[in-house]
Amino acid sequence: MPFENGPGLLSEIRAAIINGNSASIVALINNALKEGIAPKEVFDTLASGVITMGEKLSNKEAFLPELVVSFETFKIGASIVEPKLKTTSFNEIKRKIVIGTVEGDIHNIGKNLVKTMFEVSGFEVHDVGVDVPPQKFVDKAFEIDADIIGCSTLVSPGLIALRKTVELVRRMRGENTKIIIGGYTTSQALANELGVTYCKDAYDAILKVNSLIKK
Amino acid sequence: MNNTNIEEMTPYERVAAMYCGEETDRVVLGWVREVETGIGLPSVTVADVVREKSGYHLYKGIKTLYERYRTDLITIGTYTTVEAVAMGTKDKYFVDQLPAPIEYVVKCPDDLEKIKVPDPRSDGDLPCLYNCIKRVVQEFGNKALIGCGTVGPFSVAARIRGLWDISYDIMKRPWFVHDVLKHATEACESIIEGWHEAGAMGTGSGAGSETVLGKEHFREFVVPYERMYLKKAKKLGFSSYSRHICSGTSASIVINNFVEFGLNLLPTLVWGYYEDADDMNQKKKIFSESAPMVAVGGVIRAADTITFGSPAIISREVEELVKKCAPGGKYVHIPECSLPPTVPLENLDAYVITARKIGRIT
Repeated sequence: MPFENGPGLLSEIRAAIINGNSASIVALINNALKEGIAPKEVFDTLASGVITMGEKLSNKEAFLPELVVSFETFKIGASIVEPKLKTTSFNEIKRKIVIGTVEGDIHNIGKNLVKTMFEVSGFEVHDVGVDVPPQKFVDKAFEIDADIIGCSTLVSPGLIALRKTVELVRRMRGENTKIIIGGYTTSQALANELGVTYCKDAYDAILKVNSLIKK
Repeated sequence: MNNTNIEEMTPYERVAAMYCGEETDRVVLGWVREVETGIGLPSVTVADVVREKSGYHLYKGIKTLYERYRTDLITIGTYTTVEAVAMGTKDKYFVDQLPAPIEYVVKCPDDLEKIKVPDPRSDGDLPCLYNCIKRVVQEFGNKALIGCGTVGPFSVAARIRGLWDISYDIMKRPWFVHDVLKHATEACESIIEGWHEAGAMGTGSGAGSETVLGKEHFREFVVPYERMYLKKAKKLGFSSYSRHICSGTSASIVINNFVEFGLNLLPTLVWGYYEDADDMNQKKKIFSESAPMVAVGGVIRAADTITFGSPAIISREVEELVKKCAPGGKYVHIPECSLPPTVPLENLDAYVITARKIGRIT
């Protein structure tokens, strides 16, 4: 990508996202738009910064505080660019994903990180929230005709709800429904047992889902 | 190891020998902690247990498990937000689950003036623990080492401020994080003072919040406050400290630098997240070189192997783990995290009884 290393506004925008520099992001974006850089290109630059941070987290080069300020800066930037994107939409078809934290668990940081990573990667994300009953995952998946369903849990009793959710999704929506799981108490072993895809973190989720979609 | 299955040492002797790396008649058995949900009390809900100020239900749960497994260590605990709730954070209860925070008490710097240092004898759900310690010490104090701690200053701070917000503050207004941490540390110190008064001999700390920090942030925002907390514990007369390293991005970083951080002011059990038995054994050796009174425990996944494995699988893993890690002492047989209430009893039996059967450890 041309903005990755070279000088210029786009590389400054990307650096501001990576460094969580919320004070400068508004001016940088406005300058970029004034100079005629396409909103889509600016948004892709913001997204690239977020994905880089997800990768850094995955590699233990960054941790939650660094990620939080990066994501908060992205939110500010996206709020300027997104309205302009809507007016120049190319009606691209986006893959749809339902994500939520399973019933009995209200942890949302991991889920929200994954949500943002999917959004910036071009997915249409339908976040059903936290403490979500299995039926709600199924209903939303039918409503939007989801390509992927993502279930998160951080606590051990959440695994029971996770199993119920996977079982219900399979029963109601068919064995071939693509399901991803993540969160502290989940594991590759559990995913193998349930026949779903395990994601160790938000960045891994993007890689795995992109691979699932290609299949 | 010699499978004699004859116990020749008292729990106190066994634990002391274990910390010193001396021979023991069997492996030291850590606590079996699903007591907070009232195991053995089928008509009692989680809320009934943790909100009941006399601590009776909690005591009954502990008694049920202790009498079944006769562990060397007993820890008394309910849920990991109990300190923050006593300071004003609001929580939500689930069916058959521990409560979790839904509204944090510190929304801005001015809120710090409104929060008070909790009194464990009267505030929130802390009296349940305070009174339970008294009951357990009275009945089992001469049979096992009884401990009770807090989640520690940083995790309390994260539970009164919110983990996302405190992470943001770390980057943007660190002075505010230090202010929150001062209050959290004072709260933790007040609480363990109560636990000591009630008769607890060991204390502890650690939850998942601090293992989302990188090394330098851990050094700045966790270490100084935890050392203050530890100094208070030492001054009060606690004999040991259990430090839980919950899973998180930086769990391995914290373990690798544990001694460098100076968090071993008391004989310390560093339990929780290790990659596997070899990793834990390696860490044990590293600790032994620079911190003689540090022991390790963990590895077997509470919410995975112990909950969903079969007794045969669990027994096999336990045997391999104990044979690998117990020789040379400084090892406590304990799962890597709290056990879910749904663990089948036959799995728990396999987990504890297999370890108990393994005999003399040199």
